[in-house]
Amino acid sequence: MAGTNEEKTYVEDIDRSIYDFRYDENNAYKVDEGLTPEIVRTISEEKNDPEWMRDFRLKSLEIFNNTEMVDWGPSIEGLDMNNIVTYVRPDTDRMQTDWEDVPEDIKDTFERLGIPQAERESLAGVGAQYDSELVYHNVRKDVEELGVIYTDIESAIHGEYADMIRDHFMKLVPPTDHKFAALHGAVWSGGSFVYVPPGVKVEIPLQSYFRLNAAGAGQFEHTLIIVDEGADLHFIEGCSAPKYNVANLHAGCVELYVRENAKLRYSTIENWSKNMYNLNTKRCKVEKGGKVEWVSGSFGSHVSYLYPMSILAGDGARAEFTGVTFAGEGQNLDTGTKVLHNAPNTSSYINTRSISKSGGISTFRSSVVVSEKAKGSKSAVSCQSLMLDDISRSDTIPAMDVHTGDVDIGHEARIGRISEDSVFYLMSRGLSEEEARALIVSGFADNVGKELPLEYAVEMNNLIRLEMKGSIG
Amino acid sequence: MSEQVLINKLPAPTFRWLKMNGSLVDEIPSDETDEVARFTKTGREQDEPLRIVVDFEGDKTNYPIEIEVEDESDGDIILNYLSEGDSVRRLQTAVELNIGKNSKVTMVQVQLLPKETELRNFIHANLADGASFELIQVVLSGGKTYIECTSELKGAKSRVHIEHAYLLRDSHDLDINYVANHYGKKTDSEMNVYGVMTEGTRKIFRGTIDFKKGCAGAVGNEKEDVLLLDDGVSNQTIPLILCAEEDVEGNHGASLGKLSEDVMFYLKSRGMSEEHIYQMMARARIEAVAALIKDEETRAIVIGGDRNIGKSN
Repeated sequence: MAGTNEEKTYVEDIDRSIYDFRYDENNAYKVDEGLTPEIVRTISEEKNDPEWMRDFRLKSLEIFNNTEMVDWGPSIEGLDMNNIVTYVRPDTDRMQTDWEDVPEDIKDTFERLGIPQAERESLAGVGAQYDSELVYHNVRKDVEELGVIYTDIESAIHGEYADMIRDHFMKLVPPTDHKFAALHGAVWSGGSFVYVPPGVKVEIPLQSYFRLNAAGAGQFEHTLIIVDEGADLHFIEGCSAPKYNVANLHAGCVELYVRENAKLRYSTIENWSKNMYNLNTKRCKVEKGGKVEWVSGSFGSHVSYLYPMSILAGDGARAEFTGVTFAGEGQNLDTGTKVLHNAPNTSSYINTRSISKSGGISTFRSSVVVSEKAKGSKSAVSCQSLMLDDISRSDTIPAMDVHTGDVDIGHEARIGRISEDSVFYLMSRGLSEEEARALIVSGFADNVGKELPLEYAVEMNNLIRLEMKGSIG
Repeated sequence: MSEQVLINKLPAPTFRWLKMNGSLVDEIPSDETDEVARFTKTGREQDEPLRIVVDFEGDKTNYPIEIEVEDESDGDIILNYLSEGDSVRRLQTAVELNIGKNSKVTMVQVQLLPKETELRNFIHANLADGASFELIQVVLSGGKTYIECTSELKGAKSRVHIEHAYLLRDSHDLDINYVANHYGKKTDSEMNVYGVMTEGTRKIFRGTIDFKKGCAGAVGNEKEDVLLLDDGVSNQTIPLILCAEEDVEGNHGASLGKLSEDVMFYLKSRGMSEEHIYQMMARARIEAVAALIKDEETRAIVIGGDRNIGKSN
């Protein structure tokens, strides 16, 4: 509608104080800034790594030093590894299983984020990581009695699951995968190990929450989940950090194994602060008849490279990816997904939405690869992008690479702006322009909202509403 | 040894391991004997299209061509690639097309080349206010074919419309790169690609709609429909929509694979064999684009060609 742009009004920028608080790093132990073999050995000693893990870290560092930087995505010039502290141990004796035993400032952090409350009300287990270490880990007794293992991965490396960890650790995402996978291999710390035995259905989600408190630090947690034959699990991860003027780095790694006829839903609400470089790698291998469902909301970070990948390795394996990305001022979020169809009769469904505002840059990047072994496979990709102003940017870069004729592949993409007719309609029903636009954007992101448990959908919609304040101006 | 150059580049690169960011080829050097062929069209009357002939039998490898269509003018251009020779040939045409205000150009290109031939077919079009460029391309045979068409929609309400059909057989390798750069307000681009692939063939289609800042009211649509008749194909598709402007509309759709079960069931129930169904459907894709060719002589090349399109086994 002509004249609408001139009528836009200024609204205060968003209030992120719910996430933007921090505590002094009193008595926290830190390694030096930068990345050297000595620092990697120090981390390994801190962890009391078995010899194979120490060697693995050093080899990964070598790979990191010899791997070139990516040149096809957002610039990460502002990230200088010489200024990143790769290990920060908070001042706590050990990981606790009772919130009352967690140091006050750390407990307060997670209280303000609602984690203990969520655990009490709606979760089967929680892992809470603060900087480089897990500070709290607990699983409900009734879930434990089913044989479900949910523990910190570092204990698992030393205990009865040591062989299982060694057999799977960085096999789906090897250090050679890309430069920041190699970095992760060298300095990883913290994270969770989950094993669900055959036939077990975990009715209520498990959650890990990652909080980065220290300025100029990196978080490199490793999540390894194995859902055995016929089992079923919903795993949720959340993350946040206060905003600093220096760069923080997140180069975590998630490796998921879905065995025959098993199902795993992996949900993430990512809300890192806007000084964060989020270079995370997630990959899932799905066996015969298995299914993985990714639900992904990306709202934070200064720069993101994030493409959860599904490898459909067994007959009839399936993958679904539902995602929303919201790029606001100062953000360059390059997100999407990758699927490899490597067995017959596999199927994938990708449904994403992206929103750009206030100069934000949102890129949807995907690949669907269908090998010659994947006869009878199907894939459908739908990506929609919404531009909220003319200073932002939205790019869609989907790729399909097909090597057999017996397939059915469809793709659609759309880009546009909020319909002025829709805004007018809602305003005629009594909403302000800002409320109308926020409602439309929430509806646009509903593909993710409706896949999340209610509490997380509410959080996601709150994040959207916070981001939309200042959307007219 | 000649230098290597990257051609058919994606305007926004992606994961390197996909190997879709461009094609590395030996440079075809230009020299002073490569005279630029220049053509100018003025006015709206046209008795005959402009026919540009490319000689595949001679030694020339580089054909730079400049075509100027002045304001308020119309022009039809036919630039076919036809040869029955069997000598190994590599040849490049580079058309620089300037279309004036409110002018309309339709260019038709039909390719029927032996499988020993490598063809590089480059078009760069500059469109002024109200200008319109329609490109109809039909590729029926060849060895290695690289096609690039970049349209600069600088003028307000300028428009590019591409219709492309290809039939790949005998290890034909086809590499297409279409780019529509929207600069002007209310510009319009449309790219429709219909293809049929048989055993042993390879194709990559890169289609980019790039909405630059300031192109308010622009609309871009791209569509690809590929019928895969056999296994043993390599089909890559990467349709980009790049957007720096709020007030635009961009759409892309792609469909790759065999015929749907519903269609097969319906036609088989009418007494048709599977072989016949595939032939009919493949032909329909090619002829739908051929029907847009006004020149009878050129249309006959497509309709009258070798039509045994069936599956390899």
